[in-house]
Amino acid sequence: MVKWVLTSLILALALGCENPFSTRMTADYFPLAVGNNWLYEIKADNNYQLVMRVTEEDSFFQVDVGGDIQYFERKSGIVNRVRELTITYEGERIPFGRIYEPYLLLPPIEGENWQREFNLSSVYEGDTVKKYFSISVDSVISTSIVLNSASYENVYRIRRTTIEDTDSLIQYEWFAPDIGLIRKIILPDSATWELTSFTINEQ
Amino acid sequence: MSIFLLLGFNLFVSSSVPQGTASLDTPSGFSIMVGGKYKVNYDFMASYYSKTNYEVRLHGIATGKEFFLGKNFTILPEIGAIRGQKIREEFSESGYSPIFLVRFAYLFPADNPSFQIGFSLREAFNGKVGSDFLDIGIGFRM
Repeated sequence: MVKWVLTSLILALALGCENPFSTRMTADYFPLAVGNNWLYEIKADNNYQLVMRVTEEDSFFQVDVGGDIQYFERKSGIVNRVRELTITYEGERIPFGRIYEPYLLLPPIEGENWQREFNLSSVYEGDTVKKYFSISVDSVISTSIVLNSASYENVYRIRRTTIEDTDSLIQYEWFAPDIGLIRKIILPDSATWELTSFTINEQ
Repeated sequence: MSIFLLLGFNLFVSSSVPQGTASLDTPSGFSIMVGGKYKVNYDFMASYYSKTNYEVRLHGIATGKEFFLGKNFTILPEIGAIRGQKIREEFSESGYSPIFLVRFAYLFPADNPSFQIGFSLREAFNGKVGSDFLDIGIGFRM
């Protein structure tokens, strides 16, 4: 009996070791909690540092991205970015209401893709004003990456294409388990975000 | 010396598991008893979990030894491996994970078949020993 108890304890400890698939199965690839703080080194025309911080949680998580306030909704299996779409028409700001952009599907699955398109319209002084917004994510791959001497395993890299009216933006983003966004490349000028530090709110 | 092969079947439903709310488990297997004592137990497991926008499918094997606590209570620690698959629409990703489980059962007094009721704790995936899965179910052995 003692032999079996000891064997079980040893095995339990051995099983406590992390394995890659376990991590990819259960890790949180966008840990949203008030107080979580990401510090990025931005490499563009001018190099500078940017802080991303979860500042509030009400109906949505309020995230301060270097002074730009963004809103995210966390639901089972998905993180939505909440946007208020507007357009400036004849000097007036025309609102089109709130949209829920599928920002990240959880858990990520290699090879998957998703897209969402919003065709909105509003009437302003007899004129019909239109707004177009689309999000498309593809090229989801599982990889590993070294940033600032830190090695990240079980990372998912995605390609995100955003089109707003006539403007399009392509970004490659890397998400690490229980950290979130660790790297981003914004095309066409290849401005790069690289994580310098991540502080989680322990409370 | 007598050698017996004991077959068991269990059906576990409504598991408490972080990966899903709706679930179905079928840990079933066989044991080998030599000279009136359990030598080893083998379990085959298949589990299915469904979440809002993805599914988790697991199947695997485990082996362990059952200990009797008195005449009717048993404790069965097992180790094994499972193959897991996460699926969303037509996309899926799979991999392997070790699993550790302990099953507690009460055997109703009867010879053949012997009905049992119990629960099991299973640990897999997250790298910490805890209880990823808590199954409560019934079964029988013959």
